Amino acid sequence: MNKVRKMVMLALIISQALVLHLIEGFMPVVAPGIKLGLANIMTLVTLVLFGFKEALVVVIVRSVLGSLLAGSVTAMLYSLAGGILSCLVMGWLYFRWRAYFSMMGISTAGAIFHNIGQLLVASWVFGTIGILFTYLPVLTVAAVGTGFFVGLASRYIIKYLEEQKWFKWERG
Amino acid sequence: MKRYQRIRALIIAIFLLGVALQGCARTAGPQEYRKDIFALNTWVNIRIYTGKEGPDILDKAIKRIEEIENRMSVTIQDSDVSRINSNAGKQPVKVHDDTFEVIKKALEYAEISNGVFDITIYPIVKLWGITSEHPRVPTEAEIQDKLRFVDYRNVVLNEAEKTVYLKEPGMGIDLGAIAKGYAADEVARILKEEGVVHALINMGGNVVAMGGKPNGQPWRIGVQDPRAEGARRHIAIIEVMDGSVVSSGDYERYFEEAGKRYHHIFDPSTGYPANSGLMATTVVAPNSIDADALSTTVFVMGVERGLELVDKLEGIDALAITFDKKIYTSKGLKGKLIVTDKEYELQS
Amino acid sequence: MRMPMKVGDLIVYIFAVALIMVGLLGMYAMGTQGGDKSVVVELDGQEVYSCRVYKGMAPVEFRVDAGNGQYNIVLITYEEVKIKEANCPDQVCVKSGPIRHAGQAIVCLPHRVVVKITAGHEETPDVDDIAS
Repeated sequence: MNKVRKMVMLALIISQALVLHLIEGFMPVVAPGIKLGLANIMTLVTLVLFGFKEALVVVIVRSVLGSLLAGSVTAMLYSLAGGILSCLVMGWLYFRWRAYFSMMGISTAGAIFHNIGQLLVASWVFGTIGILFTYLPVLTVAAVGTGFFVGLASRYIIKYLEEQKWFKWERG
Repeated sequence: MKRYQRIRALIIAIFLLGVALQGCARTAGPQEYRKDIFALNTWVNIRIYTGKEGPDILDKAIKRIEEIENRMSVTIQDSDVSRINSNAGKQPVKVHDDTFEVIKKALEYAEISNGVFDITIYPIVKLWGITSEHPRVPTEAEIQDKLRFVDYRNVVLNEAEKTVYLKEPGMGIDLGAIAKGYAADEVARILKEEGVVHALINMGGNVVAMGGKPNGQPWRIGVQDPRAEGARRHIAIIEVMDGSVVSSGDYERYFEEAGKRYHHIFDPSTGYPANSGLMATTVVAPNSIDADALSTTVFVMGVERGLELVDKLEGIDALAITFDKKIYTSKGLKGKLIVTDKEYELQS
Repeated sequence: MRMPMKVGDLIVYIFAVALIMVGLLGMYAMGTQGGDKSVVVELDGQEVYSCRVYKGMAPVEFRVDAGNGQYNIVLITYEEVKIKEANCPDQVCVKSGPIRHAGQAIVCLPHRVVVKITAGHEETPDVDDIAS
């Protein structure tokens, strides 16, 4: 796949991630800015189809743009911390331990760390580590749910894209 | 790699912008303003919680205190009180409304207390000179000589003319036991007029609490340890939302001669420092002028008579500390006083 | 790609359960010191209210106004501190129940409100003034 095509594909993925990010913004789970991490679908897809670096770019650009379009600075901090931490964990699991994990397992781990990242930032912003403890149980339960859903969705998207002739060709 | 750098630069820029914007979003709430000055022969401290106009409000309050001092001080030559004293036995003196009001209030307390509280004690005060450079114990004859002039019934008020007249030459009045309370009330009045809700005024130990603390809890006023030897230390705490707490005691101003302590609160019936078995009294009242006058009165009267008087007065409470470090309280203060010093024993 | 659960997934779920435990334990374990305490309420990380907690104090109810009609009502008694009522979407602050010990905190993320108990010797004097 040449540079331009790759960039176009990534741009498309980012825009989709952005849409998910914004849709999620309409249903604040805990606080404006703290998210379940539906946009992780696109992170995971990029991770599998393009690689770690590309996934990280998707996360960062999505977080920054998403927060600029609808959100605040704190929302962006949550988003970046959650997104990057989750991307690192998912990347590590996918590239090192792929054989032992299903997509759902990886995305659940991603979702959990997505929340840990956000809560760490929230603890820092509010200056109490209490936030981490208070919200960890609730958000971890939620993460198991979203993680499963995100994993499932990514699996179908990846499967679908890999079956497409144009994509295979694109991927080269 | 360049692309990453650009993204990083963008992120940093947005962070900085965000931090800057959050900085100005905060609005200032009520703030604490304090003022300490020396007036009415004592330290005055005012604490208020308000907006930016705080310093102006404090200035107004201070001006009023100075005005009161200029009218009611015995040491200022042309004050109302000095003019009344120098015209004793000669002629009635026209005074300011506030001076008139304070003297009237003082005479009311003289009436209530059967002369235990008496502003005509001034000749005795001068004789002992406890607040002066050279205090001394006068002879019995000297005291008897001056005691002739001590009688509040010889103060003649003319409501219409706002004049005060001392019948006997040689008489004199001293508003020291009541003026501070009046000034504290006046400060509270000015603060209220200016819209201040929460404030704490300390006029030489006369405390006026206004509106509780800004956090909704009552002000916690300490009762001075009468044997702290000049240190600010409390032995008990009284919680007040609105009202005044005033203490009087043998520790405030005194001198010692031949191992005996001579303090500044005189018993008008003997001409000697009051000796009713008390080290100190504290009175809680809605108005500081009442608390001020009554703390002196209770101190001279002693535990039994003093607390009995206080129990008869509506909305006023008192405690008395005896030489054996026992604390007696009026009925209304039972269960409300928090004793913090184990050496002192609360009597029920 | 296969559907069935793998070993790794199990590890993830065990990890999740462990985290829930850590969170719950952390909420209780955070400080069990006794002694003098005060309660601090913060909005957006800024202190908006503080008071001393002492035996025999009258209960204090404080309403935090977080803007846009958002509020939390904090109830402070000598025994415990809790958020009595709030109109936040998640109600986590209300449901998380009372806190009792220095170091504990109640958090309402939607309203950016933190209520914490601190060991309060420092800036909270015993008395505000002395009548002398």
